[in-house]
Amino acid sequence: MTPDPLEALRLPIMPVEPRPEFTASLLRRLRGERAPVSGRGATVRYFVSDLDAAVAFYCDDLGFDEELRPSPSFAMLYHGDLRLLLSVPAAAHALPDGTLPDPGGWNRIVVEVPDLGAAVEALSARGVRFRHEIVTAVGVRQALLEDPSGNPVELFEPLAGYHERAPRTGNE
Amino acid sequence: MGIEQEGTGAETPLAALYHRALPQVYGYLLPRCGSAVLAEDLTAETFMAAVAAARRDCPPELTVAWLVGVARHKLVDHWRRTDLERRRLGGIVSGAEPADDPWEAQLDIAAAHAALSRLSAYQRAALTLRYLDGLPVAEVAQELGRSLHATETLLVRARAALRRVYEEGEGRDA
Amino acid sequence: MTTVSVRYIVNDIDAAIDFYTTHLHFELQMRPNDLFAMLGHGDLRLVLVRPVGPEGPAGGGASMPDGRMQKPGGWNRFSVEVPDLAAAVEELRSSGVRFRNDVVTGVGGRQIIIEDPSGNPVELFEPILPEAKLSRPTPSSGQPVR
Repeated sequence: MTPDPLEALRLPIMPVEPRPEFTASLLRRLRGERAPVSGRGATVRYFVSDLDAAVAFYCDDLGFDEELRPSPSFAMLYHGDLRLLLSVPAAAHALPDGTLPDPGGWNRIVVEVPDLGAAVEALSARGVRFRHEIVTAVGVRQALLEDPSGNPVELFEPLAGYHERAPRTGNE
Repeated sequence: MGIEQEGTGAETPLAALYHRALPQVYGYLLPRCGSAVLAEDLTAETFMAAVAAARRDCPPELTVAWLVGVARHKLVDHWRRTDLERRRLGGIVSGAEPADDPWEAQLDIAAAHAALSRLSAYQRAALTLRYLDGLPVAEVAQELGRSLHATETLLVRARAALRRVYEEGEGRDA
Repeated sequence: MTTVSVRYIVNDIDAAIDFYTTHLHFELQMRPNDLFAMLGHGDLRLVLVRPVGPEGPAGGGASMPDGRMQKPGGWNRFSVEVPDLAAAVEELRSSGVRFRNDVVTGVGGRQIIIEDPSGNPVELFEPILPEAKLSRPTPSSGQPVR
């Protein structure tokens, strides 16, 4: 009897480790644990109407570094540990009903500067728009400006000698 | 809930088995599916089924072999479920007459695997269980839910279909 | 590790604290009153303020010289990387968290936007990982596998 050539297909089990994320997430599911939402997070996304103007503003006026600009609708900038993603609103960002994102709003990145007075003066001279100029709050002086698309950026300078501790009086 | 005994914090037999069994189950599925994404899905289904089985009044003995058996079942089920869709898309080779002359002496394994994926669910399952897994025909019949005779007939047709696709494959010498 | 700060405007400080600590595992660092709180998550410091009118105290939630009051909402957001987006979405949905959209797949990965109780967006992002590779080569032609 001639040997069956299909016997050559015999495939004994060789263990293969799946990717670690799969292994961990399946174990969590089996344990009935909730999947933690965690991870590195120092990324902010801003929507901009003009990418070139935005990149120039953040890099030239605020000292950000341009890391990537792979297309006319997206750029990645860094400022210390802050990764700022600039996106021009596009179909991929639309809600299921078609609504597109807008720049603006009030939520913002908060950037420390060594000398707020000098920074505000220099920026004003370059025509940067301010929502409010320097005010003194608890432990800091701060100012609120806008990028060319109208997105807010908060600048602050800590007041010398102030400890970051909950104020006793309860006033902000 | 899940695989830890409530209140004790101790791990059940399934949890202890997990790290040892996972690469075996995944390793069984991956080359038979040809897709890591599908292999992951079926691996997850296998272990979820194991958790459900372990909760039964008369739970089965939880071993790697048992888990592989569940995985095999999930794999065949997947082929059955997707068969209809594949037929609609025209991806499946319909039956062929068995040939009299023997196969060539040495099989191109990769080409044979590619040809396997073009067969209908039952034919692919029958050949996978019989040849890749090395199961006796009686066990193949049991897994497919058919009689021994019907399974033997299926195997004959499946071999013929495989041969036809295999010989029509790209890059094969005439 | 330098800290990156983001300020979000919220209508209710305690509801916001509850949301970020429970669902996104932020750690509460400071809550001196019901106008202000500071939370931390890795490199990110999230500063929450309740908006106040012209008579309110100076600070992050203060109204503008022209009288404009700050508001929550908008589209700009911070982004949290998650190892398993599907699992995170399942968990958050079952906890009743509001989603602004469905999962979107882009070049770098997949993402979805949830909303805090004040309607501020938070982006959850799962980077695309390479597929698992076979740990042994596929059988070569002509060689029986034993």
